[in-house]
Amino acid sequence: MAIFPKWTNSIPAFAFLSAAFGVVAVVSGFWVYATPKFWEAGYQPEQPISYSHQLHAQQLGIDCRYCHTNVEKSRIANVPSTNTCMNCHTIVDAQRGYLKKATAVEGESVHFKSAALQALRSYAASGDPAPWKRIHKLPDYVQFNHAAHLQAGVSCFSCHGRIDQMAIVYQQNPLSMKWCLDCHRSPAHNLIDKTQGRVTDLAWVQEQLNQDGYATSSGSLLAEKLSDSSRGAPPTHCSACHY
Amino acid sequence: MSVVAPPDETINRLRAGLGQQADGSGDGTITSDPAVRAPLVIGKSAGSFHEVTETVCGWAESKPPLAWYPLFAIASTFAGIATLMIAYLIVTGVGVWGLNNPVDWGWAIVNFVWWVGIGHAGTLISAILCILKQNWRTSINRFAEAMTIFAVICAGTFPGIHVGRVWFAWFLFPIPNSNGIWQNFRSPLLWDVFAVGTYFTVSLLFWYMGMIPDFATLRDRAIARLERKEKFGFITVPVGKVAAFGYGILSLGWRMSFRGWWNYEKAYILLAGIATPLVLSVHSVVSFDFAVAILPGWHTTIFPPYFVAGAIFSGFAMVLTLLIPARSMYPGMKDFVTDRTLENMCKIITVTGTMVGFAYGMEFFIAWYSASYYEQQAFIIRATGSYWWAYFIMISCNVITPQVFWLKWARTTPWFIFIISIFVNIGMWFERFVIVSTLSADFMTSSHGYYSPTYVDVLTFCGSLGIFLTLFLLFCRFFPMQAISELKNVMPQASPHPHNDDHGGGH
Repeated sequence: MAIFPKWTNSIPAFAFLSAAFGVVAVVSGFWVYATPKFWEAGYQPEQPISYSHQLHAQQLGIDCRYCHTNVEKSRIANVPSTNTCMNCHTIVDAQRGYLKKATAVEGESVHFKSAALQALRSYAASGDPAPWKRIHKLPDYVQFNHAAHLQAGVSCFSCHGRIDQMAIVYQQNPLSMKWCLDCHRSPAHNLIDKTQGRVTDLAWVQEQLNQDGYATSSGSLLAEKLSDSSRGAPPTHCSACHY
Repeated sequence: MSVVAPPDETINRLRAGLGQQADGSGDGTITSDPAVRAPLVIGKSAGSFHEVTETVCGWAESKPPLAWYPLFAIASTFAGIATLMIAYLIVTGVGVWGLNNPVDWGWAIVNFVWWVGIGHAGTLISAILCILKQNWRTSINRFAEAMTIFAVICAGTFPGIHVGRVWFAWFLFPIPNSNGIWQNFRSPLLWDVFAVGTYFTVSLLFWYMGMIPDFATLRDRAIARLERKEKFGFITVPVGKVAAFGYGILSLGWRMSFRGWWNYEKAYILLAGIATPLVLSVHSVVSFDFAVAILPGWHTTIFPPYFVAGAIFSGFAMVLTLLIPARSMYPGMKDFVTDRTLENMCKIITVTGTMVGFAYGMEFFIAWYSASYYEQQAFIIRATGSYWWAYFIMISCNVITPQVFWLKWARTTPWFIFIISIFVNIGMWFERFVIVSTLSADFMTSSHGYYSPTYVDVLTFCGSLGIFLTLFLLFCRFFPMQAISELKNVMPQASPHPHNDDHGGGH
């Protein structure tokens, strides 16, 4: 007598096909979704002051280093205190007469009424730092040195993208370990001639790097020069970043 | 030269269970005349093929022996404790173990190596002895293969949990990842993953494939008793249908057809061929975990052969530890697992134990001969330092104890063999402990330390024994413990030349 009805003969084929589909679905699902490219890139939090890099860096042409003063000397590209903002905004406000007759002109000027500037003024007056939200985060066990990268000729552009075009800053790149290593293993795509002194000129940098065959011509020359220098080629061993 | 009867008559006498020794002890399979081949199946089961089927299937079909219940209760309790300890470890971190700075590897690696080593006897028995046509292996190979599977499961647990953050255990495998890093293929720890993984896969296939015809026999017998029901408290379980369904799935539609057997025999010998190099390669690779490191006391070329010998040594001891009680518990098992089988295994234990002893001596010789101060120091500290007691247990259990099998009484008395097998198991665990605790005294005296386990270490190890025994008792309860068709093959009834001794031995 038969324990199993005849239709059970199709179970192995069915199970095999489902398993095959299942494996493909799980693998491709992980491939796409379980990555920093999916989860990290594009992070764009709302900031306490809706400061626009597009306005300040691109339209007004303020250099990155005016605010992020330590970027060439330090591991950290510091976020400026509100004092730095007020360096200009005190003068702007004074020129427009807001300081003297603040209440009198209330309601007159868009500039005065701007919520962003109201917030800035109140932070500056209180002396508390503005609670900026950090966007580009690395794990605690990773050390990243801004100064070393700038000295080697890696522009802000390579990691942060066209910040000068962002009204609200967001994370453009995944910042995954593979993403770091891709550049450390072949840096020619991202090296620019730092003797030009235009490391922070993002539009110019983008134009340079986008030239046809840049990596194989100028980029590789710079990479060669870098590996000849005392600094050496970008390290790829564990303790370069994990120390 | 006490044997007067001609060989054929002796065999017939022995087959009928009449050939006891002069003093009435033993089952008559220990013959003093090497020209007389001891029968491999004796007693009631030797009567006919049907009796063999009845005996082997009977174990799975009837209630287990009384001792099974308390053993299972104890074993599963310890398995539960292991689960708790592992959960505690994962939640808390490897700090719950006794690891410290000079001794970064503790009981986890000791247990891993010990369990993997135990597995080796199963593969040796099922693959190498099969290819060498050692027919006495038929009554123990299923047993030993099951032991291999369960031992490798226990072994694999330890590297899996010792990484601390177990959710990163997938880093062991070369999977493309967003870290852009790949495994270090020059590291023996990675070779280990593949060696043990291959070993488990091949052993599992070998074991399972061998059982398919026996599952089919159990299925067919279950169909014959389909309406059987049993009451467990308030619940009535249709055990007949459950058994038919379970064995029906496990037997993969085996029909006992000629074509099926033809494929089976081919696949069996192929798998034996694939498994044979694994007996030597797996523990060699495990030994590289130590030998490739540049630590004094570890960095030696003798490690691979010495580990393999030790693996077979401990594996045979574990088979005996399981087999001797099972043989007394299950009615009719003594018909297959004869005193002669046990005696043969004891001889292998003596051989491999002596090889291991030779390796211990050679290590010391090379330490002296190398003229390397640190190497010499490592061995002097090993034997006389803070862990002298571990070294002492290792030498006495591994080198001295197995030498008792030179005495015929010792290797033919099951209860005594059982005790010695326990000693060998202990000794081989301590061998790995001695090797690992070498870490406590490396190059610089200032960095010397001492390692002692915590209760979590101890309970996890005891728990792994519980997992092993639980799986094994379940195997005894539900699976065919002997390879029915192979047993029938080595009986005189299977011989195409009955009663004719001129054709090379008859079977």
